[in-house]
Amino acid sequence: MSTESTSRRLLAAVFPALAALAAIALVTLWGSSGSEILDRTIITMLIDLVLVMGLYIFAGNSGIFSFGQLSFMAIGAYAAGFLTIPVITKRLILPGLPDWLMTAQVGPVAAVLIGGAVAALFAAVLAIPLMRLSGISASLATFAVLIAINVVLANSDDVTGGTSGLNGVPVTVTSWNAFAWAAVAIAIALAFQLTPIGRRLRATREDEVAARALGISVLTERRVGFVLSAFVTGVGGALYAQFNSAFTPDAFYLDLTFLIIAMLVVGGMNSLTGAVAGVLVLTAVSEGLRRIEQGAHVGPLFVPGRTGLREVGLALIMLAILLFRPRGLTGGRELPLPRRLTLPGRLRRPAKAHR
Amino acid sequence: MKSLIQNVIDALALGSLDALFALGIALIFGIMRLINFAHGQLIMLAAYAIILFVGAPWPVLILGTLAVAVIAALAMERIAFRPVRGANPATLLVTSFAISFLVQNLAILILGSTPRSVNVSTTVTESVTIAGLDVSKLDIITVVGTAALLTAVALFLARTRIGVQMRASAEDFAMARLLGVRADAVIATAFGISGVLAGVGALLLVSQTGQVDPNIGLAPVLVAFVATVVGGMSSLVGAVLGGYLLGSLTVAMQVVLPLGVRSYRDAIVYAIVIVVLVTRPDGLIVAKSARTRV
Repeated sequence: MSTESTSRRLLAAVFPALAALAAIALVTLWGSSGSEILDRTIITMLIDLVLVMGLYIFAGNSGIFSFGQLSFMAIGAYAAGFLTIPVITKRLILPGLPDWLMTAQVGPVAAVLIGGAVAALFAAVLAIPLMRLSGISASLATFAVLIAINVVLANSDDVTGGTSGLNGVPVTVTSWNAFAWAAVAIAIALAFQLTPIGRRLRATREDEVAARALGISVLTERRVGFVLSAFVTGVGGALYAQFNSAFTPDAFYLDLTFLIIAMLVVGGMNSLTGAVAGVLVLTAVSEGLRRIEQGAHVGPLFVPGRTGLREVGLALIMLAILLFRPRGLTGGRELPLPRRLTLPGRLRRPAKAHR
Repeated sequence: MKSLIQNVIDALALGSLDALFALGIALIFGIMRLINFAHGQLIMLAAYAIILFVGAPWPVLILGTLAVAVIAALAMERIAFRPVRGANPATLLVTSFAISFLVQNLAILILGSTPRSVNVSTTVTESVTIAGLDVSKLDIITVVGTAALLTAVALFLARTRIGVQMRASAEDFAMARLLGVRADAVIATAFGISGVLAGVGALLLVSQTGQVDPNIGLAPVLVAFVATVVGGMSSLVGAVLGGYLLGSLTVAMQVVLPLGVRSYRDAIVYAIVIVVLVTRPDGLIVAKSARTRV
């Protein structure tokens, strides 16, 4: 095999991620030059993108839905909060924190990384029993984890602030560092699906019995995917904390779980391109509906808004996709390399046959 | 002794409700491997129907509420679940999640999210004294009514033609179809019955709480989901027993747990769910058909 074709195959594999990066870079540029509301929308989108990448790493590659992702997000958010809220504030609002955590203080980037790491650690413990379960039982178990974590967070008043949540997390997220983290998340997702272990996990998604027959352990692959996915989701949670400054346990519950799953399903959960496309499309739709929800001027008439419109619209889109295009907008395929970037004419045919 | 009997009655009443909700979910799961998250929205719609019919004579109230729940269940099946029938369980679960989200937010959009109070009947909330014990009439109605309804469903499944076909479909859907069982009829019947169960559950629930809001179906569906998982997802008897077990467990923990830990009760319940899933993935009672081969 010539080096030329190897490098071209690499380019084809990396291309969807590059295209995704270019697209979100343009959107970020547009957002950071616009109004503050637009900027906040774009940052929220970038954080959602990190969360969707987190879900995609596990669900997209293994074919098993995880409904418990947001418990990892919650862990990342609370960890980042504990590590960055000023000590004086912590003594006031979280009197139950253990001493070492009360005085702990790290920089914003370290807090994000630690948030991801703590979430990954939690997932590593969970993965030992949960990944032994078959697909649907594993999904249900992650759902039970989501509810249990929510109950614990909402009731440990002295440590987590209970139902009133945390506040006073220093705001350190701007559009460009949110972009940087989104790029890191995309890079991790891409790297994982190109590594042998990621490819083996994708094989178990297509046919678990055949994969086992080929000597794939399934258990190991799923556990690795689960832990990595928790890390990225935990990072997303830490960013969420550093962007919103205040949050309650219910921020990490069913509504956002639904949005994240909807983004992945609408775009197409089997490909990176699909995951990114889902985030872009649903953010655009949901922003449009939010504007209408607030009431809109149609010519001289003012149409009063109603709450719930945005959610109804999102649910309708998701149902339409599930019923009419179950593999998502992208059909589960990656973005192909444009013709211009492929080989010159005389070599095109053998290259195609090779693929 | 007195307080023990009181607690047993509480456990039975709570367990009855849980069993009703759990059976509604298990009926559908048995046949089409769908965990119907939207079952909670059937309860919500039935609860709003109660507001509509309250004040009418009680047969009208009951039949009207049940009719709304059954029609909603059949509509859900026809519009959303029939096209995705046969997809993998994860897709089905996500579909039901989407429907649930849609119906709940439609309710918020149209009816608003403020809770409404409704007084179903003053006579059922009174309590009567039996052998020195104060028992609320509603508890008695809940326990007896649920027992009657469960018996009726059991008889329906055992004695009627479509009931037998439903059990055959739960056992092996592909084989049942090959032998001439009509898939559409069987699944529609299952949804119809789950609508009845949701309607009855809503009547009992709203009589007790006196309040209706768009989120009313969420707690029951989570409880039902737990009861079904613990009892055995593919076994109807398992789901019902799971419901009663969960009700008893909830009351027992309320009594036994020290005050500081009590607020974590639900977390403990879900931790138990995870333990059951891991140690007995098919639940406490396993239907023969549920064992995965290969």
